[in-house]
Amino acid sequence: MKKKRAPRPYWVKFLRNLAAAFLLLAIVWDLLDMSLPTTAEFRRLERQSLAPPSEIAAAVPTGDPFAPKVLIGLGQGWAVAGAPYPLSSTLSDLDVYPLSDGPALIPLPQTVARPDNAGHPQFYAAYAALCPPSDAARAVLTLHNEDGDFMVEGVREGAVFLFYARPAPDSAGRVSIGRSWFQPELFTYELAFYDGQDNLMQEITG
Amino acid sequence: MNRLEWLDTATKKILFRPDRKAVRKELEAHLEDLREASGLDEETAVASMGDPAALAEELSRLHRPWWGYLWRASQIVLAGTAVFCCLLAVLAEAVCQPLDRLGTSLHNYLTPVQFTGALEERDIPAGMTISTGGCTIRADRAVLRSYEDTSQALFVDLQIGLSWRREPLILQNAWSGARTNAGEIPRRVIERSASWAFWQRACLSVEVPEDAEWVELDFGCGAWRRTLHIDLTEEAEP
Repeated sequence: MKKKRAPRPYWVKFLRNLAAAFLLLAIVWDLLDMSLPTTAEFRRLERQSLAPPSEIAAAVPTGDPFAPKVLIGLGQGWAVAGAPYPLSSTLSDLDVYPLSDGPALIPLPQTVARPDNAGHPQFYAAYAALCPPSDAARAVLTLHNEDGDFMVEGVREGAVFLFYARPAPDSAGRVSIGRSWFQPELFTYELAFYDGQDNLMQEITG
Repeated sequence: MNRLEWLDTATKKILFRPDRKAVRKELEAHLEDLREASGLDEETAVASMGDPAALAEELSRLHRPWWGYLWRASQIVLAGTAVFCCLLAVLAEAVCQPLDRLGTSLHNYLTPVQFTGALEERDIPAGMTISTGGCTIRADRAVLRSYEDTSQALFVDLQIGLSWRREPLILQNAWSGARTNAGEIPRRVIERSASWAFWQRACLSVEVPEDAEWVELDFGCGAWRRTLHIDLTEEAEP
């Protein structure tokens, strides 16, 4: 007579089910080439760009539920700015910028939303001033692109200054932020740093 | 106390229902065996089984419900995951899209780039390999093409061995620079890039001045920066 197998203990069944669920999810995730959580996806983009893992200097909320943050990473001689899409790796974007000594300005690869006075989100092109002078209290960016000239005050965010700018709305009240706001070869700028007494410390152009 | 009452009392403190049912079934079988073996009537057999309340205490100690509850919860998680994956698969056209992508990747990977318009072509010895960031990049073939307007361009076919993660390189970022003995090359073009499983093939081109003796292609940045050196003065053996 065939011996009846003793039932497996519940803890074995519990672990087996969890492992099966995880495996199933991992297979489907990989098959669909799904993305990873924001920071892991950012690291993946870095690896794919042959950039060693950088130190994340700032995480800028975008207001976009599909790409919730733009991450800015600093390495020894380079910087990366990436907009990882946790639900679709094909949309994720990362730019690598070589850095020399001193401050540098990079555009963020995606628009970011900031609330206006009424609390409604408004979209802006954003820029990060990296490696500012250590005792800089203020930074002012003057940007020139095909939409005109813009002067914006920087917002300190950890080790970087962030700038938010956008063109004036058209007659219908719409704001369209074109390529000339994001591609470094399509805009020029002057970036000035001031100390606590409002004395000019350093100015760079690009 | 009849048989059913005795069984109910003996098992009522086992909180996890499947356990309770199994123990009850076992006790019932035991009771039947006892009756058959001894020829006792039901009431006497039940009485000889002992105090059901004391047995209930003992059984509740033996059959803690927590692992049972966790097992149930894991069943729900597994079922939920299966449903979620099905929905995800349907939403993303799981059947068509990956197959299509697989086919396109393989096609792109296998199809060589066709170039036209060159007056003259010269094969340059290649074959140098660099390793960085878990990848190996090998210059499979290099061709110097001269054009009517006296410009010349170097085309380099790369064979890239990807890391175990199968993450193809983003060449716009990974290809970090190019120069000749005459200086930096400002214009760099990625003619083609396709990946398949653990390999990626790419064709890069750079404009090179007439008097260039070598070309160096940089990949990666920081500690991961590596350089492929291609000597233009040599000619590949036919």
